Amino acid sequence: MQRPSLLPTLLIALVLGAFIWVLEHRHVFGDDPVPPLGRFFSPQEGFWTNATPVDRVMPGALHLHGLSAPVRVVWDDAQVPHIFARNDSDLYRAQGYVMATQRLWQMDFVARAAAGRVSEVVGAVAIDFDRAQRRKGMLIGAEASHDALMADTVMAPLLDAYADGVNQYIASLGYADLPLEYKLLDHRPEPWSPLRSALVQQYMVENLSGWDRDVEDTHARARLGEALHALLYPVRPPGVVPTVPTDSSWNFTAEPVPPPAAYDPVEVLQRDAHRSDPTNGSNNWAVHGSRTANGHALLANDTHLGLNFPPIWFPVQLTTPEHRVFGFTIPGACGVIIGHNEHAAFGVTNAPRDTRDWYHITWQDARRLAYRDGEAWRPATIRVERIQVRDAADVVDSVRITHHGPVMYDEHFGDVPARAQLALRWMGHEPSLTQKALYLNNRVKSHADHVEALRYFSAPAQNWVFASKEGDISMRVQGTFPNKWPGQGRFILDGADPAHAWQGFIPFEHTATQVNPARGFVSSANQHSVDDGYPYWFYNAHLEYYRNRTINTTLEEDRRWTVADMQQLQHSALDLRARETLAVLLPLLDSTRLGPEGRAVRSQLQRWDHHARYQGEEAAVCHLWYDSLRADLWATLQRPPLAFGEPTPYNTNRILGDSTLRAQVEAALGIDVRAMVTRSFEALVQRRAQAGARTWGQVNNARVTHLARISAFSREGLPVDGCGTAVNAQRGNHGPSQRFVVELSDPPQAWYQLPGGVSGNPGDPHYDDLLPEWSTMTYRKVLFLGAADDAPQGGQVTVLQP
Amino acid sequence: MKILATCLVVTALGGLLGLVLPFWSLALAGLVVGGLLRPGGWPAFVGAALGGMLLWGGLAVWADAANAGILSARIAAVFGASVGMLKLITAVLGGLLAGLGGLLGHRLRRSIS
Repeated sequence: MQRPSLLPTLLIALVLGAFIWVLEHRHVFGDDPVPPLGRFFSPQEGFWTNATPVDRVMPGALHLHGLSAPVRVVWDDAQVPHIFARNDSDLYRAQGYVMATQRLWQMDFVARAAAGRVSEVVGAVAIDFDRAQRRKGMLIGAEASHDALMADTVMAPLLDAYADGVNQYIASLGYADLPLEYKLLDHRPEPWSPLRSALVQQYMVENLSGWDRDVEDTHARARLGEALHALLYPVRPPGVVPTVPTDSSWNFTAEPVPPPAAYDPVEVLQRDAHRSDPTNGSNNWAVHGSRTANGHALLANDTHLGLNFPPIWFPVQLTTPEHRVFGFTIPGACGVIIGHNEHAAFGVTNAPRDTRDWYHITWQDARRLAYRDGEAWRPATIRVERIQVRDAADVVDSVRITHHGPVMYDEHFGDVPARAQLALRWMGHEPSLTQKALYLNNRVKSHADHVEALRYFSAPAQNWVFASKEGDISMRVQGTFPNKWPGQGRFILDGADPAHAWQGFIPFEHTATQVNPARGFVSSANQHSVDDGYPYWFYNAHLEYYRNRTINTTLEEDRRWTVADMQQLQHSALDLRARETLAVLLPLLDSTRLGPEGRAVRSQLQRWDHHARYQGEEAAVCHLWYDSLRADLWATLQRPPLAFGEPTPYNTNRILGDSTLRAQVEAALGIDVRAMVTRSFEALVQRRAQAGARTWGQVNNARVTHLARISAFSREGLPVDGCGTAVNAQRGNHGPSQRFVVELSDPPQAWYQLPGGVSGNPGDPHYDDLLPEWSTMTYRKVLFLGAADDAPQGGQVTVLQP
Repeated sequence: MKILATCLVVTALGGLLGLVLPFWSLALAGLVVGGLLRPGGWPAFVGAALGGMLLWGGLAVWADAANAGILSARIAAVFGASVGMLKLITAVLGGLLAGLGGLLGHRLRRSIS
């Protein structure tokens, strides 16, 4: 028999080999990466294996090494885990494991982002982000907190146990079991560690205290002069009650900090593009039992953050023989942050405070090895940051570290050529035992315990609301704050002048606190923390002016409050800003210039009850009009290409609504406000006539976005009322990232909402199953299970065996 | 008959190998069957391809049904395709891997014997 030619065989082998090679590798077409298609489509290991059966049965038993006794995990019908362990070590080992089963990719990615390591996953597009993370000192802060926590004999073994729980889950995973995002982005989970828990904490510190306006204010002051700057950008315009008002007087005085000589730089930076969203904030309040329908105190908390899949919050119950707590944790953290135990409930809102200052560094010479500090040259240290980049060479960045912090902006980062060498001094660089505060706070039995727990809570500064079964309610503006001279850090500081340095910190005993006040409630919504009666100087460039007044006005009503009232208040779409804006703008509108359509729109606004309803048009008209007017008005201030901040809407209304102030600004800027108001309204009416009316829902586009910006895993156009300045602070993909209401009965009862679900897997029925409840007033009752309780209906049990 | 036998054996063997090996094990299943079962040239390709399509397509349809289509709708949107197209792509990729494997098995067998 004739031997067949080898050529076709080789050809087929070649085709098959090439085919497999193509299917096994990630390819990038233009800017679009395509995952390894063979693995991705294989139903035995690719995305199909992430399609969780809708009637999934949780494993009855699993092994978790290192436990001292079996741990029982009860999954309720929303797949919320209720964990029962014999001791703390077992509890947090199990929490780490359980968290990883639901949110591994999220916690891994957040820790990576905090550390400035996103380029490793997505390539060169993230180099700028990664460099900024490192230059602003995210790792400096995380490492400091990590070292402090690992020196703590209570926390070190617990953080180790948590990390071990996560790592045992990671070790159990084959490719087929990986969360979907790993397959899509083609990367692998990295082992967990206490440092990565500290990085997650650092991510939150950055989220909540990573903004300031020092650069913009420096430019504005130089251009406008002291008087006009003070009018347009006041430290604190009148009309708002602080989080902790001075009831009588404070029983302490502040350590004096002498202000130095004036320092007035003119041009410092084109743009600080690496700040967090200053509107990251929240609402919380507690009502004393003397003012509730059944005599039990009530506590409410909803936190306004980026709305993402997976949600930033994770509901969980944690139980040992010593304590039982239900609440919301952040994947990567031990214990819960917002929640209640058998004795008390607690929650947080962000406490705005300027804990980020910029120092202009004067180098000795071009080598930038030493900088001026008073009369001397002080050596800088150099931190070499190596950034791995997918499909490209590593990027090495040498960051100068001064006693004012890392030099973020210099000739290698920011303006070209650099206008100034700017070092960042930030509370986020200081070691923080916040994780220990959470541990202790989960176990509080009384208000005194709560105060002791918060002794360790330094950053990010939060307004802690508290209510106990015993009947106490309180609010504490908790965090570690630099003790500043009045005005310190509003503008760029001189790094060469020792008097400009941070001099010390406000002692814990001088924390602004309110316990059982006469008004019968405490509340906070990111307004300024204290008034002028407080002995220390308070400042933040961004403050909240509207939600806090709606909440306070409501709670001041003479009523007996119920849980349903609290839920209703959390969903209030009353836009106080719109009400006050229209009260100022409508009288300024020149009605003689309006046509029939303009008059119709105006009367529509006059009739409006100022509730931002997604189906209505009024909120859309009001917001679009006001946004375009403010842009017109304040464009006159700008001097490109320098960074410049707009006066706040609150202060804009204060000026426009007061004929004296208005005339002052008109004269200084050479503008005619009435003409601008009318012109912007006419333009709006014209656009509306051409493009058609838009509802508030269309303009606001309430949505929840996947963390990796994968639009197919996101949800858009949600039917949700509210806006950024309503208590229901829904604005685009930002808003109430959880809602929580507790009644301090015995045991406490609680209700919650979550914009998403427990599972981080887009193929899991529990990925977004709680979203419809969140979009409406439907609250889910918290199952606060006892150790002996059976699994609830629709629930399942997994026993983690040693 | 040869096509049917090849198809069924590839489905079974591919399913088993896929439990422990990556996606390319489906080509390996085709290769082994195409080489050992001696179905002949075209039957080796067609039978193995049908087997690969049956395995991957079948598993995808089954997983999708159990999941009530939650994930497939989202993945389809990622690729700008329909859910049906997603299943078809899955099946065709499986078919090509197994079919090319089967054909190569057949050729190798002829080259050796």
